[in-house]
Parts: sequence; structure tokens; C-alpha cells
Amino acid sequence: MQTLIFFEKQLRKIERAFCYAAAGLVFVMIFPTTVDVFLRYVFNAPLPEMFQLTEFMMVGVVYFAIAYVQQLKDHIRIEAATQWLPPRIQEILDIFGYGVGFIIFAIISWQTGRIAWEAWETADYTMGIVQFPLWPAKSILPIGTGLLTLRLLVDIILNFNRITEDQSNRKDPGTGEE
Amino acid sequence: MSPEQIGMLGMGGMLLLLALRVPVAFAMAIVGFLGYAAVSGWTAGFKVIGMVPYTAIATYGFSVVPLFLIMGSFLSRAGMVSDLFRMARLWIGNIPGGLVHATIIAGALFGAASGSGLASTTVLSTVCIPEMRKRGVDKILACGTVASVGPIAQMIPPSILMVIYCIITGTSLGKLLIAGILPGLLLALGFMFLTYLRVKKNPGLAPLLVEKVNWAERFSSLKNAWGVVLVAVMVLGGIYTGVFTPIEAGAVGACGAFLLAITARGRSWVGLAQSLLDAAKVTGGIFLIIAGAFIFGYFLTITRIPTLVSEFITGMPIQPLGILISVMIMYLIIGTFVDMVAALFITLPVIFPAMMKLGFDPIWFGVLIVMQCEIALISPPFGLSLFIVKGVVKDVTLNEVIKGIFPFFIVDLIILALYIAFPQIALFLPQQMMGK
Repeated sequence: MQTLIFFEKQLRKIERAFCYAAAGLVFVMIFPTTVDVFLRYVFNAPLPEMFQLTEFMMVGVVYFAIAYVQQLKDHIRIEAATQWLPPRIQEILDIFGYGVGFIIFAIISWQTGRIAWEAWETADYTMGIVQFPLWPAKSILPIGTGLLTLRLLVDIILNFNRITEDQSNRKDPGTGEE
Repeated sequence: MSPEQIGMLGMGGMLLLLALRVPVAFAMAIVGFLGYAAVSGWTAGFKVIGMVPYTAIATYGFSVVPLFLIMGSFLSRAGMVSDLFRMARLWIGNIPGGLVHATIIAGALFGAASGSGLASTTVLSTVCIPEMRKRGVDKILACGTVASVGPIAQMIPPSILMVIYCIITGTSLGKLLIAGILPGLLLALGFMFLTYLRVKKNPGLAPLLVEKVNWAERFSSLKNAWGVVLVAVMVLGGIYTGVFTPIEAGAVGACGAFLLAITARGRSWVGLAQSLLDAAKVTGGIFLIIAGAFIFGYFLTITRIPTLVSEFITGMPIQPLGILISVMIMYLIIGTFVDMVAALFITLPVIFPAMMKLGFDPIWFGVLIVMQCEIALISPPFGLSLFIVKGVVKDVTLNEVIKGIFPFFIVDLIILALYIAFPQIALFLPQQMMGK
């Protein structure tokens, strides 16, 4: 348990660092389009293929942020049907929800990883006047979704521990109502 | 099993997962993947799930979401809302209910720089509620006004919700943004008219200000508000005249907002970094759902469910307007219980094609949907705007906020009915634009 708590603490820092990287990309994203607009109207010389860079950055913003969003439990979900349930049942349902996420994002990080590897092996490039390699943007997916998968696994274990601890506290005479 | 049956099963399964609190993005992705694999085989399923999370996000047009988010956030860090509120107070503070009117005007003007109703409610709560209460405005009225005015930001462009609507339905974003201007102003006017009537009937709600203001002060207050006006004119004017695409307008607007924020008094680098972090978080959250919705959409398309549903709806022996009104009532009910962003991703792929087949205008329907989201934000008991106000104002209960929004809620419903009765309110400006 001690190791898990230590590990979770480090994971928190990594997720936060990734989200700061996403925040940095949001800032940088302002400029390719602004510069393009400026050059087009002032010098009548648009930068070719600037939109490609924005697309790559968009992938970075989204997938670098998602693990931190899960750390904060900010992924949108519908609570109207379950919020009248006792907290313990809600925590069990949360384990189920994170489990669903764990399964699908494990598959997504595996499959997107395969595709990123293909892009590297075949030296896949974007089409157009300026050609960008595709593997860096495609590698963001297995990294970001992999981190989310790991976070979901940790959340499942933490929730599970909390529930079993509650259980043993309850059996403890003098604390529980039972 | 036929693809149609798998599709129905998939829809049912997803609704069940959502009811069990599975986050929307996870539920859509897993049902989409399993469903696609069930119809077309595992190899095809793996291919979709490997490709779509990238292709769904690597889209130039989507960058407008983080850009709109930081534009509003930077401007509020620059103290724009207090400047706007002060300006409105100096100009019309002396009329009955003056501070309430000033709050509505500040909210509408800030809406022209902010794309998020919740962000707008948050700043209005921190800036306007203490000022109103200090000068004797009734607590319930102050809280109700801010909770109801904040959401106008998503009708007045820029608007994140409109971007989401356009991503799901493929509608022209530029036209929808322009279409929101008049309906947004009508909302603000409706709220001001309501306030006028209420304060006239019960002057105790908002005592008259006895503040001597001279014209020099009034004109000097305009100076501080120029930033928002400049950004709004650049963004809306740019889109309306076709000089900028919405994305270019977002980038240029964000750049302008950044310059205003770093030159503002009391600039804080930590605050600006926090703005960027928040924008990244919100973008990540929304777009993970978009990735899930795209995976689910691939599945839904091969099952032909959207076509079947739209054939079913259009085949009903009811007038198209009757169907539209039923759809609106359905959204009012959904919005009471469910987050509307999630609801749009789930319902629009099947509802929108049916509405188009009935011959309704996609832009007009978009304005109606945004209005529904507006109402959902203040619908008790789960409306998020209510919780934001309650969170910011320490000595108010949820019931008091609900009491406060109630008159505004009625005005919202009347205005929704007006939009339905007079589509021109939404379509007039974009049609002018089409003429260009």
C-alpha cells in the first residue's frame, strides 16, 4: 500500500506536467494562424501548410490533458440517475466506470501505438507543399491514452481500497452503527 | 443479428452505461468499438479504434475551441468584467433597478468576448454580486440575475456550444455564430424589461442609487472598456464581413486578449498560466468525448439507425411544427437532468437528420438548441449555473438561487417560443451575410 501511495504521488506530478505541456501548446497555437493572417493581409504572402501544425498541436492539447482531467475526476458523466444512492454504492459504480475506461483505453493505446509505429516505419508524411512527418503527432496518442489507462487502473485500486477499509472500520465495534 | 438490431442494442447499452455513471467519453468509445466489431468483424473494429482517435482530433477547425476559451479567460484576467460593469453603472446606474441593468449589460458585452456560459457566470458572480448587495439590491434578485445572465455568453458569439453543435451536425460555424447575435441581444433586453417591471412594482428590490455622476466620468469609463469592444468588433466583424474564418478570428482575438492581459494593471503571470491550464483541461475533456462520439458515430452509421429514426419521425402523422415542439419539450426535460453537452452528443446524430428532413433550417435549429442549453444551465435542481453562484456567494442557499432565477426562467421560455414563432430573429443576420 505504501508503494502504491508513493507511486500515485509521482503519477500525479507526471500528469500535471503533461497538462502543463498541453497548456503550453494552447498558448503556442495562437500564433501560426495569427502569423498566417498577418502575412496574408499585410504582405499578401500566406504561409503554406500552417494549418498542419495547428492540427498536430490540437492532438497534443487533448491527449496530454486527459489523464490530468481524470485525476481531478472532471470527465463529464451523468449523475442524475445515481446521486440518490448511498456513497458506497456510488464508489462501487465508479470502479465499474473506471473499469470500462481502463479496458477501452488499454485497447486504444495499443492500437494507436501500432499505428504510430507504422507511421515511423513507413516514414509517413503529410501531403502538400511543406511535408511534415506524421510519427511525432501519432506518437502522442499512445503516450496520452497510455497515461490515462494507468491513471484509471490506479483509481480502481484506490477506490477498491477505500471501500474495503470502510468495510473493516464498520466491523470495528464502537465506530459503526451496525 | 441484423445491423439494425445490433444498433438498437448498442444504443440501449450506451444509455445503461451512462445511467451507471460511466463517463460519457468512455461509454461512447467502448460501445462504438464493440458494436462496430460486432457488425464488421474484429479487424475492422481495431482499425477504427486505432485511426479515429487521431483523425477525429487532428482537425484544423477544432482549434477554435481552445482559442475561444483563452480569449474570454485572458480578458477576464485583464479585469474586463469590472470595467464593463463600472461603465454600465455610470451610464445607467441612476435609473430604477440600475445596478441590475448594469449587470445584464456587462454580462451581454462580456458574452461578446467569452464563449462559455459557466466561465461568464463565475466572473459575474465574483464581480457584480458583491457590488449589487453593497448598494442594497435584494440578495435573491442579485443571485438570480447573475445565474441567468451568465449563460447568455453561449448565445452571443463566440460560443463553444455552437462549435460543438457544428462539429456534430456539420453546420457552417461562421453563420451560426452570426445568427446568435440578435437572439442574444433579445435575451438581454427581455431580462432588462423584466427587471424594469419588477423594480417598478416593488422598489425595495433595488433602491435607487444616489450617486452624482458627471459626463466626464461617464466618457472616461468608456476608455477602460475599449479592449472588449475592440476584440468583439474584430472577431464578429471579421467573421461577418468574411475577412476572417472563425478559427482566424479566434486566433487573432486570443492574441489581442493576450496583449490586453499582459498590459493590464495587476497583471499576474500565474493567473495567465492558470487560464491556459484551464483551457487545456476543458479542451481535453470535451474532445475526448468528441473522439468517443466519432467512434460511436462510425458504428451508428453502419447500422443505419439515424436513417431509420429520421424515417420514423418524419413518417409520423403530425405537422412538422408539432414534431419540432415535441423535440423542444424533450430537450427541456433532458436538460433538467443531464449535462446538455453530453446530451447533444448522444441525441443530435439521430435527431438532427430528422429535423433536416422535415425542412427546418440547420442554423435556426442550432439557435434553438443553444437556447435549450441556456435554459438547462438554470434548470433546478441540477443547473450548473445555480451551483456556481451558490459556490461563489457564501451566504446563499440553493433554494434562494432557484427562487431568484424563477422569473428569468419564465422569460427564457417566452423567448424560446419567440424564436420558434419568428425564425427571422435568428436568420436575419446570417442571410445578410449570405448575400455577400
